[in-house]
Amino acid sequence: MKQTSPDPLYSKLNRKNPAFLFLGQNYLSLDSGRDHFLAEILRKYNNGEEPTDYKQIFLGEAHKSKELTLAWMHERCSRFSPPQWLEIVAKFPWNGVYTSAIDEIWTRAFRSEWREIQPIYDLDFDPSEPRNRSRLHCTFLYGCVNQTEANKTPPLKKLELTRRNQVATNLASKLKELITPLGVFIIEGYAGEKDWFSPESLYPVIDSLNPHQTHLFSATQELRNDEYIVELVNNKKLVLYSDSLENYLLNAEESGLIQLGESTAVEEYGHLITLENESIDIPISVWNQVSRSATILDDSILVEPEYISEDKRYSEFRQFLAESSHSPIWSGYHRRFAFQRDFEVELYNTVQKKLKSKDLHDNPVIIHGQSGIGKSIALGHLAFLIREEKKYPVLFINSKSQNTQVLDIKIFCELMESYAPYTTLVVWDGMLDYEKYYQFSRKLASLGKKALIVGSCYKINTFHENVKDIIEVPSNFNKQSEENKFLEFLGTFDDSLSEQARKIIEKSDSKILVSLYRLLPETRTQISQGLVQEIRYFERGINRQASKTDKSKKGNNTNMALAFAILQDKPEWLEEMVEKAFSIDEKENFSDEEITKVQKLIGLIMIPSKLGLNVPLEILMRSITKEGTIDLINLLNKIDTDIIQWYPDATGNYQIGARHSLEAEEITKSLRGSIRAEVDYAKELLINVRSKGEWDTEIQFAVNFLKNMGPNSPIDPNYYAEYFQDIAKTLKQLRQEHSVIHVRLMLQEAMLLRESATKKSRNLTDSNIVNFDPQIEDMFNEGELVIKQALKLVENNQGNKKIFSILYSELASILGAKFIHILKQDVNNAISYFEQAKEIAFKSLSLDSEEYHPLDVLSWTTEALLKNKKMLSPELIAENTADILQAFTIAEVQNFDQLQQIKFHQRRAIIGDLIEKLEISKDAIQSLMAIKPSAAHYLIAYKMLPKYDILQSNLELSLKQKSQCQQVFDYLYQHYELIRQDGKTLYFLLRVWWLSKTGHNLFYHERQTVPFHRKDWELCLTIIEDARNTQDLQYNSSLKYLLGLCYFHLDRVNESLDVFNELKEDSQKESGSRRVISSYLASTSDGKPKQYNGEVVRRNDKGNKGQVYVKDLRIYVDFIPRIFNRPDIRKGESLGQFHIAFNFRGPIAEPISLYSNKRS
Amino acid sequence: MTYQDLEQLKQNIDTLASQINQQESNFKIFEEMKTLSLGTSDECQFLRLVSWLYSMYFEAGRKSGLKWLVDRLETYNLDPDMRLKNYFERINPLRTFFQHNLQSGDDYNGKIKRTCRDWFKSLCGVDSPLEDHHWNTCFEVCLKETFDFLDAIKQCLCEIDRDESKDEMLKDWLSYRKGLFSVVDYNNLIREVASDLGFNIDSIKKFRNKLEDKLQSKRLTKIIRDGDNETMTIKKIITDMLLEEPTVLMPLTASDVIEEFSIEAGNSKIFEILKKGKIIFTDNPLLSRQQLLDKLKNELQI
Repeated sequence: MKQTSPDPLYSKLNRKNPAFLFLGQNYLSLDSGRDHFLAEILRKYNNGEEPTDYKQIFLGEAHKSKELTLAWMHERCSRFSPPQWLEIVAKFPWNGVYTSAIDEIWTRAFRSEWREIQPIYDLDFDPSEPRNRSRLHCTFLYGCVNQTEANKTPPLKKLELTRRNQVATNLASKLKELITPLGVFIIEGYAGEKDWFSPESLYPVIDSLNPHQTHLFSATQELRNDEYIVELVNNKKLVLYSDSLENYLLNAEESGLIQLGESTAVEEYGHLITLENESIDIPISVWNQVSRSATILDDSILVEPEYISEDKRYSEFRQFLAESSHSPIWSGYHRRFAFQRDFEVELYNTVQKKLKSKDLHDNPVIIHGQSGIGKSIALGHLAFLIREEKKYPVLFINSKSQNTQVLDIKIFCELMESYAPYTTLVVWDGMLDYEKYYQFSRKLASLGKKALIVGSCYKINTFHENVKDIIEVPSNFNKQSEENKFLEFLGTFDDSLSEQARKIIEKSDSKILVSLYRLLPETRTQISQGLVQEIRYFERGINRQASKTDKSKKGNNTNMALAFAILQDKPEWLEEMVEKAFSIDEKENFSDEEITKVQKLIGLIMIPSKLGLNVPLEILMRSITKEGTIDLINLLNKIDTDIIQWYPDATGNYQIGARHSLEAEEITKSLRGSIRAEVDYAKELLINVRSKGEWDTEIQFAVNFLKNMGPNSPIDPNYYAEYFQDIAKTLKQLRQEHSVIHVRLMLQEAMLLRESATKKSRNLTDSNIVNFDPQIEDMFNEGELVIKQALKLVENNQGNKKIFSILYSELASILGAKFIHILKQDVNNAISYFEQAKEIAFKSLSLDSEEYHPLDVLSWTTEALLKNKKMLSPELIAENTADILQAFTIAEVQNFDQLQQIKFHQRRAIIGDLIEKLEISKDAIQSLMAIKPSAAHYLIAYKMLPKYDILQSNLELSLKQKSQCQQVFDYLYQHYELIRQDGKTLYFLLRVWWLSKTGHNLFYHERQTVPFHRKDWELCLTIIEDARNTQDLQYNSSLKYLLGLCYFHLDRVNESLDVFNELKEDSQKESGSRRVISSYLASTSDGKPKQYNGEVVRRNDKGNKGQVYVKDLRIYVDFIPRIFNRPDIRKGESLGQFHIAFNFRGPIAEPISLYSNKRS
Repeated sequence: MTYQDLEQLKQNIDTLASQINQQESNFKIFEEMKTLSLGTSDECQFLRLVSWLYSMYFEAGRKSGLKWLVDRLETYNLDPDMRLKNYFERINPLRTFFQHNLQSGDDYNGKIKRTCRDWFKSLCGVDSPLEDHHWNTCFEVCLKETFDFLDAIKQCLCEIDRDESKDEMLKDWLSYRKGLFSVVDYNNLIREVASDLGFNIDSIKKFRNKLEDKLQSKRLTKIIRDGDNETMTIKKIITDMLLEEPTVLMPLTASDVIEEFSIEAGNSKIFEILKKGKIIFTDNPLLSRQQLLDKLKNELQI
């Protein structure tokens, strides 16, 4: 039953396709025949002329005092109600509204509990989510009477209209990209020639869209006679309806063809999260912000789905299998469509245990394994189960989400924690590099947010044994437990299914889960016939497979090979699809090949898809459309497949991709493409990226795409390695020819160049070093240049410290790699690059001492340098030994995540061994003394340390060790004048002094007290101030914290508060759970916590925030009433005795019991 | 604050409305309704008040477009914190909450329950009033809000009277009221159609409720448009309802179509085919299941 006529309008009003509404200037009179708003304006300014159209305004006196007139008009808007038909039309979840009307009456109909309004009045505002259905972008082509700025107010004179027409045309020209070939454009209340936006202006907008995309309702005879309209209708670009849009929508809804408003479940339970006995309403602004990054599992997903027949249940199960890899089908989990694999029990228990803990979670739980073995469904299931228990709030981030931001998650956690100390479970099926989850967890913990991240990644074999909470998803079903369970599970859909599936499962592995959708016939009645066919086919595949020896088939596991056989031997759907791709349409030249448009389209979609990414529709459109428009839908219809799907995200951005990355991989292979061709497709997409801002979807896609193709790809870092330089060239072209200049893209470009050059350099053998390839150095130079340009783009302010640090870190990497390359040929020349790399790495560290990568660069460059000790002078060896040791000293190891800490200790051990073997002589140190005395003194002092790793130890020092530390301090302090310009040595001095005084390293545990007398604090202050005056440590947050602590204990309380306020600002941007930990308490000189008392000056309703006035200090300090077990404490009440603790967000009053409990 | 005060306020509003809107003779905001009889217990007083207020706002005040006036409170800053609008919108859920059993497993009354519970919680600290003093608090607050609300409506009418845009606003109000029917209007239309068809309707009220449900579900209560004749549309709907008597059952189900045509359950084609089958069957009700399927296959050329 092939459809020959175009799809009816209602089939496109399905929430999946973009739908834009245009309201013409007749909208107010459409129903009643009279525009009361216009009538009032004309009464006031045109002597009561009868209203016919808005051009009448120009003939009156409205323009004489524009500001007053507009204010009066604005006032009038509130006197009239939106027409009732509009209330119906507004119920539809539009992606955007355009209007030629100038009033704001209509906007009232569109505001609702689930939708906020984002007006656009001119071209200055370019929204990042212009199709967001719950933040409806309303474009006023001619401005609005509620505005006062000249470029946002409507014209009141004919000449002003002429001027504004240009703006209106430009605003309307964006519709083509917004509507996309998938969407519809609906016009209602259009006044034709009487409308300010005349048919002549409307014509190009509609003409730029595909046939049957635009539908005009309430079409009058006058409109039907208009020459532009006639032309558009004749070209099938415009469909006219005499009926009103309201009636059309109502009829369609009544027939069950569309749904107006939200589903009943969402209407009843949407935006509401019930936890234990509490119902939390999510305000629409929070909802919109969080939805950019994650799906909020509100109560609507828990509503029992309606009863369905067995046939429908089977068909929903297939749909569940088909779509779960994109995003979870919650009703499917409700219907128990998720087959639970064995590892899920461990996952669930681990997550439950961590959720119950009261700690902040700076380490995530990670599941890893190959593609297509049930990770996505398991994660969806976990999210659903935890939410179903109603104990914890849950967020879900799917694999296709390209722009997850910490602040969005933070705002959600904040809302939840404002009710009770809830831990939010963030299930992130991102298939990202596992380090990303660590960073994210750490960042949330540093902001004091209680969130547990559960992430997914590709199979990793090199996890360190100390890394906890890593769960491997086995590729194979467990013969005993999983196989039978799976068969039983299938039997619940049809009795005969389990028996037939047994034949398959015996020969397959758990990749069966991803192929199951293809194996199951469309209807239950076809099951026996369909499956038999597939099995026969499957067996044929096995036979073929058995005769092949192909390196691409990873491993020798028979099951694995069999699973590959299913896909690689092209089932019919794949064969058909490929055949069509090669035969339809005219051909064009691409990647040195003649290909059809369909083939190109498939390639453009499949390459990112196989890397787990969907393509933003806009990029795809630009890539496929060189001239004019192209009917993408028609193109997709030609291949008639469900392999390619498009998905709107929560903010209305459209992405297109393959159903599953495994299928994308197979299609890519079947298209007979080479890696070269894949790269060409990638380049075609990249060159068509455009941007609206730093966090724009397209830029985010490009960055993710490059990351997944690039040297740090979590999938295969070497697959595209040969073409890194080529890809970098495309990025350069994008910058230079299309002005897409973005720091994050430039960083990728530089990394690709560095990796490409490094790889080529590594391949140089001793024999070909003579023929040194100048291209390698050019690549390093180019990468260096790109980073330097990027550095110029970043505004120099405190808030950008992190990005500066990352860019410097990459620059140091490039220079370091260049040093190693040149070292092969010319040691002396190479050393200058080493020096530059070192300087830049220290610069990066000084901006962000929590950043591990510059330390890494310092380590591998120093290691390379010191290995060439024969070529180096003794003082150079000594100096660089001192430098690397100093780098380790200032590293904030405790703020590194688990993995970085492991790497750090590994690096330190390697360098330690190397230094030990170097046996730096006294002569060398003396020589160094002449050049760099502070480094020389540092080396001498370092050698005096009781243990080389004492600065990283968490143990309490013995008396002897304390005394040794005191000696180290005394030695260095003797030479204070010589070291006071050297921040790194000063920091070392501070640390050994602290050790000698307290027996512990800085920040070693919670709620420490220190037995410092006033003169100790003064000495401490002097060292800190001197250290902060050096370039190396001016931004160091630990020193800033200690500065605040010193001021406080030296009775400079207000200065202390200022420092902590600055620190609080910084901690918004930095990570590390230490920031919310109360590391030190205000203490007396005998090392006991000081006790204070005071009265409550304020407390919030929820009892989780309060402020107390500390009489002794005459300051206000925050406190948490719940921690004092007095959530209902009132203003004026005494808080009793308490301690003052300090975290990186400032001083906080704490109950004495917290300290006492710690001691006991 | 007594019932007499309330009645007085209501009358003042009607008088004012009729003065303002002289183009319509004897224009009133509230049609005639039963007097409020409060009873003695606190619980009874509150329940009766809610029920009476529902009748006043959504039955007696429906045809006059009270809702239009409520929307104007904002225009004149008479309800700056939306307290009165929230009060007005709460009456319907309160009535439903008490008149229907919402404790059953029906998930689709969550919003009503939530609205009511939030209100009870804010007043009495409980999900639902239990003790006499809870009921009393609810009654007192509701009565106070009723006076405030009616007083604001009265002031709103005065503001409209003074407004330079009064004439145009009255026209807008009139447009809003177009298509609004009172209970009596519905009853009369039902009687008219039923007697034309020779039907004898036992309970007008029951039928009217069914009609209102239907209109509500179609969102047609206020927006019926058939040319300009809303009455005619309602008559058509009443006729349709009266004719909706069960006939001989068609021998096909969705499962037959899924099986015979191999169409995935949930596909809209199933609906189309069954609709076609219904038309064929209506013309020839003696067709067997297989005959009907064959005819369908023939017709659809499958």
